[in-house]
Amino acid sequence: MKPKISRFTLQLIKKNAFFLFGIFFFTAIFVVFIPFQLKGYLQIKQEIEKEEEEVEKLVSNQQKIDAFETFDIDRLYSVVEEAVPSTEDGLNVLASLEYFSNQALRNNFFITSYSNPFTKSSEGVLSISIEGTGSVKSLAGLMQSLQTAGNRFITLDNVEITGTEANAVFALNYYSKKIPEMKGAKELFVSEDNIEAVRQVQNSLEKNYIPDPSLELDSNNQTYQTNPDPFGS
Amino acid sequence: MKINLIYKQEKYRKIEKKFKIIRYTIIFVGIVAFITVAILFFLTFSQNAIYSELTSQKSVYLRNATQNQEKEKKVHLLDKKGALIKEGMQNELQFASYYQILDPFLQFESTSSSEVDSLAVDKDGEITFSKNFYSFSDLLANLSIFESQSFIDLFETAGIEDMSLNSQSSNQYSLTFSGQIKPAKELE
Repeated sequence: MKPKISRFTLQLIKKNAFFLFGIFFFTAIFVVFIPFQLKGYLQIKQEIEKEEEEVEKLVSNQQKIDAFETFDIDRLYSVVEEAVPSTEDGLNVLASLEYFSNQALRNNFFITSYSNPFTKSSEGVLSISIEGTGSVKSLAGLMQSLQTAGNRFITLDNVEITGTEANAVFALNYYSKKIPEMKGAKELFVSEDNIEAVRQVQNSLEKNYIPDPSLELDSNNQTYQTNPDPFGS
Repeated sequence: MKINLIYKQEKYRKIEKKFKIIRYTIIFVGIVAFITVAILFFLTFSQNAIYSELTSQKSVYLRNATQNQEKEKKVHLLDKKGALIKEGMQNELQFASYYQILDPFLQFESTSSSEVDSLAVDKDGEITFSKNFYSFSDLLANLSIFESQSFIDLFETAGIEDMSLNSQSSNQYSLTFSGQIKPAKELE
């Protein structure tokens, strides 16, 4: 039987055995090792992109927080929590209406009646109808300081005036809203316009602040009775 | 090495040539494989370095974020409630501004010749007012004001709704006007 591989070929195979082994070796490198390495590289690249996004988000949040002074955040927060509370409080609305009446008096406008503040409301908005008398000018003056009467954020819906002595009926809206907390590590969105609106309310509150006379203490008139022997007869 | 040069020389050369090609190919492929592996090693190594740096950066920012959690919550709330306030401000009726704008034309304080009888305005700018006049000449004088371009320019749409005569009343002539006034911000 004639051998399939000649002696010379066999010798050549032996001579080039190293290179023939190389065929298998490099095939294994190209088929197994390089794809495996490439997969690892692509995975880490994806991880980097994900990490970069998260770091970017964290940096952005940090910058947004740093843009505020700590005291500024606390002050604006207390203003906005009072002006637009999380849940509506009937007593708070009544106190605000009382404050509003006082402010109306300062403008020579007399409030004669309020509608029941607990009947007409939609989600987050409490609507109150108010009647009063005074000149149109005095009503306009009152409306200038309306937005934060009684430390609440109030808006005006409509005004109806009849007669020269301005018997007026107007509708006010009180707002409340519960803001759901941020869940997880999310990017913080802060609009300059929104913060500016809060600052406007804050400025308005400071401008329209009327101290309650009953709470004012005149330190010069305060006298304290002292008893050197409180247990004595 | 024993080679039959007489019969096999030609065939041997052919096979040897093929092996030569294989040798060069393998050398070439080996170089390519080495370069590819080296590049991938270098890239993976550098990406790993970037990844570990990012991880340490992230842990620092996360630590800060935990410390700022309370501030973050407050700023989030400020933004959301600020949006509500902004919307409320944009949609509300700017009565004081409208008063300033309309007073030179309507003269809200009653005069010897006329008086504003009624006024209704809402946040959408729908406005209706009626004015009483003591004489026909006063009515004509005011009509020229209401027909003036500066008055018409205040409104999107406007028109006289009613004009009546009441001989029994001292305020003989009455004029009712209705329309839609432009937003106060545009007019200021």
